[in-house]
Amino acid sequence: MTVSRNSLSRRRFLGTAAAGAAVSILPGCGPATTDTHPLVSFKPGEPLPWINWAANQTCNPAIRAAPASEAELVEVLRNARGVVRAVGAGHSFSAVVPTDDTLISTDLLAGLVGHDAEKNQATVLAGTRLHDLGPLLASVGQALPNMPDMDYPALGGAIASSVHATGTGFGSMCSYVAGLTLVSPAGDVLECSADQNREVFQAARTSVGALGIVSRVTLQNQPAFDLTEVATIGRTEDVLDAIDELCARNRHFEFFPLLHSKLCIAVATNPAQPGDTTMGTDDPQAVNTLRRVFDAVKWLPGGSGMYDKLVELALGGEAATTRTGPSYQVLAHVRVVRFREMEYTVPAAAGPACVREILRTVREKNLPVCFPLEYRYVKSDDIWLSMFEGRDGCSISVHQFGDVDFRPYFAEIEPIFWKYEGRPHWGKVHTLDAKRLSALYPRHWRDFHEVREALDPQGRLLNAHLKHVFLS
Amino acid sequence: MGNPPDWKVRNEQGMDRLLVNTVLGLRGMPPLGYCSACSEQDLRELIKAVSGIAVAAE
Repeated sequence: MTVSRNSLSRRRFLGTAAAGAAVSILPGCGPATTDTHPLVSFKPGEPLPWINWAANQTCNPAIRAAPASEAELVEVLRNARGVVRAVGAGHSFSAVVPTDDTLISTDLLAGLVGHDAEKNQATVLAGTRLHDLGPLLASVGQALPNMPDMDYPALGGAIASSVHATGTGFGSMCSYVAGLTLVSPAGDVLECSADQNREVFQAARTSVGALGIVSRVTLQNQPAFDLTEVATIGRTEDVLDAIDELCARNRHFEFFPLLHSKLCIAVATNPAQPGDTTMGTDDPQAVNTLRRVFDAVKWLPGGSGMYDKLVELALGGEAATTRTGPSYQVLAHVRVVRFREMEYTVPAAAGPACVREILRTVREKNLPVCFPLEYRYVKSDDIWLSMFEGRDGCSISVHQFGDVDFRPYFAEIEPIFWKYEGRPHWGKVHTLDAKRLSALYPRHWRDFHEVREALDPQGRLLNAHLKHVFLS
Repeated sequence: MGNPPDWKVRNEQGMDRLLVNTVLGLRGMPPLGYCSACSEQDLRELIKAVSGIAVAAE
């Protein structure tokens, strides 16, 4: 298949589609907003609540601590009261952070500790946000081999929940961890790597913050490099038919199937070549425009079909959107439209069938949703609770706008993931409990909990959500 | 940053309203300004720096 043929920049496509739909004159079409409905209120002078990015999780911790050194972190943990949780950027959609007892921010544990030029390794404090990590590594001539498509999370949170990007040759963020320092709930400082405290190392990469707080991470990097990303409009079925070839031909490949449409946005990213130039712009509000088109016609009889035709009609141009530059700038994208997300990783070979069933379900049940899916591949690893443990994975994400109740939509889709033996992303919305999760990790579930129980025998790090996913 | 004309309409709501919006988040602006370590006073200082709101408006 050719994703470049009949392609068009996303900005132009969406602008054309909005105009073609005569959005402004159709009844029932109001301006889309993504204001969320706050779960809590706040008045100046009151204790600050904690709220996650997606505004679907909140808590009112009695104690908030922000240690600025490992020594302070040790003291804070030794003296902490009640349920203790750590927070970085707060980008998880699942309830991994909330506690009304002690909340420890890793914001001040940020920065580059040192680097090894020969090994291409760098040691970074775990509170470092990914958007700071790229420039920090570049300053010593290094770069992560791969990075997520948004760079808001803190490194520690990314490691705790196996945050990933796309590319059949690349593992999750955890796979680039050569070593880490873990401060246990008792305040013990453990150096962990393949050679030292190996079992803790296997558990601490993807621990959901259940072992302690990671204070620093040594990353296995590569020399700094440039990438070029090309985003084009294609046909979902063409992309799926050629998915193996697309993945083999491109360093990174992912695509975003449009719901109620035959089309998708395909994104291929490769090492930059001389002469590559940025063309078009990455429009962070594009999904809002898509939403306006969808809202304009969904109330009509056959509205879903009309939406498909409008999107189809709008896609007649030639241009693609191209972004080129340092890897950390190209891999990351701006996300200013708030949403809630569920993601499962199914075995790589099951990806096409799974996403086809999701698209068919949305269409046949005429679900009132238009936020594109996201479809990515991640290489297998041997990390005990990683979604990619023991098998190459295809990660499929469904999203709902932040001002809409996501539960009815996700409830329709989640059983499809179960049918394909999907493992849920630890930091995203899902409904599985410990019994069902343990069946998805038959090799190392018990190993992980032996380490967890040894480091946190009193369960001080277990909030309600962690009890649900680990103990229930 | 700190350019009052750009912030005239927002600043007319007053510092307390800006603070509440900062804590709860608004549209694309994340709750607490993405800062989990910040206190209320930290956020007030950040709001002043970004909005240029006059101290007297507090």
